[in-house]
Amino acid sequence: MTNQRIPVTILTGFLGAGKTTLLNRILSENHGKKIAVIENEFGEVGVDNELVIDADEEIFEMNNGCICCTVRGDLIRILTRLTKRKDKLDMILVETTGMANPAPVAQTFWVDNDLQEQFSLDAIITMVDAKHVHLHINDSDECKEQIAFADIAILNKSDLVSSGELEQIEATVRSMNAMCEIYTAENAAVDLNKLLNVNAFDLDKKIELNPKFGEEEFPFEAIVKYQLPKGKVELSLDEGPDPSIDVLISPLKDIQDQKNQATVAFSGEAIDIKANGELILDKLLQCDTTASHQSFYLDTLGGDYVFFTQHGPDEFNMQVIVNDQIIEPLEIIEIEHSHSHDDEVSSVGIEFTSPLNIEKFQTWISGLLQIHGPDIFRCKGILNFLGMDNRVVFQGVHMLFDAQPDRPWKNDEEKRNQLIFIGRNLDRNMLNTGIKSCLA
Amino acid sequence: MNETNIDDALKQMINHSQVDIKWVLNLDCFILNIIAIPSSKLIWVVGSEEKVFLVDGETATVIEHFNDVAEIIFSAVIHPKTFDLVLSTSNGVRLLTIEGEMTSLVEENAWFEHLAISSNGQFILASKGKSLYTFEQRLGDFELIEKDTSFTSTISDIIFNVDSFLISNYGGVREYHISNLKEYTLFEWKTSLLKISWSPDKKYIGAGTQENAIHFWPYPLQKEKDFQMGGYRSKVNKLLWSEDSKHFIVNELEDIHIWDFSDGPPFGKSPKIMTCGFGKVIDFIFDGNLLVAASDEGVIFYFLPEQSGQFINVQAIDAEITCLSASSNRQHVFVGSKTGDVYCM
Repeated sequence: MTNQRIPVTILTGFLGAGKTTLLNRILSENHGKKIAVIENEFGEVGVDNELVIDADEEIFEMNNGCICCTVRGDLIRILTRLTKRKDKLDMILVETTGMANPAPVAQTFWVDNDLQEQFSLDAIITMVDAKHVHLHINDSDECKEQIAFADIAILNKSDLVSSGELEQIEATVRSMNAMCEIYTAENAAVDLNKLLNVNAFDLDKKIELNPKFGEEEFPFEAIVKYQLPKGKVELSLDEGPDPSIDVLISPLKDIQDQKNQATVAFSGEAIDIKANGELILDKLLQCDTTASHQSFYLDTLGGDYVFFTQHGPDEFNMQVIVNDQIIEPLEIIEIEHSHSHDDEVSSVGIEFTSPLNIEKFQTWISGLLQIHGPDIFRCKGILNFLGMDNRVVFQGVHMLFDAQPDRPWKNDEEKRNQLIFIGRNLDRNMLNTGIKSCLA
Repeated sequence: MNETNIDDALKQMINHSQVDIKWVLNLDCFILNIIAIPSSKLIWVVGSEEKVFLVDGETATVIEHFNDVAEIIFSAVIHPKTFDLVLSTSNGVRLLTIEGEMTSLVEENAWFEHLAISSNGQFILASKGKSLYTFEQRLGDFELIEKDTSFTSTISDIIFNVDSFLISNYGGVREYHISNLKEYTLFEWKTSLLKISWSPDKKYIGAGTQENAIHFWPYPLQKEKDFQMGGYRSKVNKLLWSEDSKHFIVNELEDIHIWDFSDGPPFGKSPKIMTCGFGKVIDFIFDGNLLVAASDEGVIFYFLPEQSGQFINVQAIDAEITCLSASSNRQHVFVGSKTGDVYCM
């Protein structure tokens, strides 16, 4: 039996930011939709003919061993009851209190099987008081989390600040949450088409706005291509800044695929190779560089080869020598590298085309969220699984996540994986390596 | 029901079903509950919003039609002596008589979600969020005698058995004996309890939890003797003890599990599984011999659990099922649906 899930919008924001004003705007607009509002203060919303339900914000811990798994018991109760209607609702709005952490609200939709079948989280909208947000944003975890959780941030009361101040607020919000849509508004006046039924997992538009989204990052600093003759080849390395350098050497095939494979290989154990040792193709090798100069040897079948090197080749004066002749590389690709681990709230976007293996992904994301769930406020994205004609959309909050088949990929559409993680202490390299280990 | 969704084998069984649909009546509302009046052909049919009907279960004739009862109706019980209907609603607690009158026990615009009545008909307990309202029948009328606001989380269920009420919420189950409704015994369990069920012999209290498990306490309460059955793939939200207290029956997605308590708690044993197989089991009834289950996809399955885990008969309706009920003479099954159709089989 067809079961279209009812979209749910969560409205959050500090006291006085304009949540109730926005709610009243939504309800008074002539959109012809049947909306239920679950609010925390009964009677604040003043529109007739709508279903307005008072909620208690009862937060319950789940006994699943995860400290961040909390749900809103009152929401489970209310939403379950709302399914017992002859006429189905078109939409549900959940308003949270000013100091509320949005996580338990969002998690409620994924911790309960029945609710997961009946409802889909459409978007989290965070109202930001442009005039007063500077008072909270640096020292209030709730304020930071509300912004970090947002799919849409509305900088309300924009008329009360200068354009310079508004730009600064927008930059602050953007630095914490790279993927949220940001709108400025006076009196919460935002086009409702931008707020409701927006499928917040859909990252396409956000990527256009943020060209740095999904900029790939790798655990190696250079890719060096050589054309090598058949026979024995010498790899010459001088002493460098580290006592060793990791190297992966492979016959050149599809460089994009090989970058992904190398990313996974660099997350594994490397084989120690001492000076004058034999190099092994397609294995991560840790070449000892403790002497001022050392050589390593490789047997090749001839042809084009690619060297992924942990550090830049210049740092170790890397040279490839055949019959005492230095072979010049065909190409050196330097990878811009960032090891920064931000203690503050930030975002990591990952984008690539190679299809994923569904079992590997499930195992990885479950493990990731179990270990790093407390720091990962939100993750969401669109996935390309091998053998599936449809996109898979997923989103998660802390340890809980939901993945559902979406529309089929279009004929003229490139099948891409697009993921974003928003949270504290995010390790881009770890996330990137992890997702690449799920390639089909 | 959507014929294309049914596999061929099931379709054939439905075509050859030995269960006939006796009548269908459309009441134009989501059917929340059907309650047969004991020793009578009459049934109460409760809508989820506004409407309640008193129907002749033999002829499908509407005897009484109550409109505008309340915006939302949550629970219904019948008075054990007068067979009047007591409702908890979003506008208070209502009493509907079989003569067609409606009175309010309390009038408040708040969600009164659960209620139960004592078997002597003297006390009604109704919950409003974290508050418990106690009504006592005095000189024929129910009077509000107590408002208990000591609960720290919303009450999730209220039941009555022999001489005590049980009230569940996050953190445990409270037992209130009718001889003293001001004091209680707490059966503690630090999680969210959804539904409770008490064996007719009063030996066990079972509670379905939000975390896909059933928690049990032996009665009377014994320290550290409570136990749990976990590993369910979904919430357990329908619990039923057989009348002889030997079997404890629960739903799990497309199956029904029957736990054998005839020799005490079934430690180390597996439940007998009745496999329905088409849609989630939404409701079931058991008379000690015949088990009837309904799936949300509109299929009704008949089992003889003593004989087999396979259903012996099947019927389907063209609607999503919401509830099941047996006629008072146990000859018929009433089926409620989302679209307002009530079926008699």
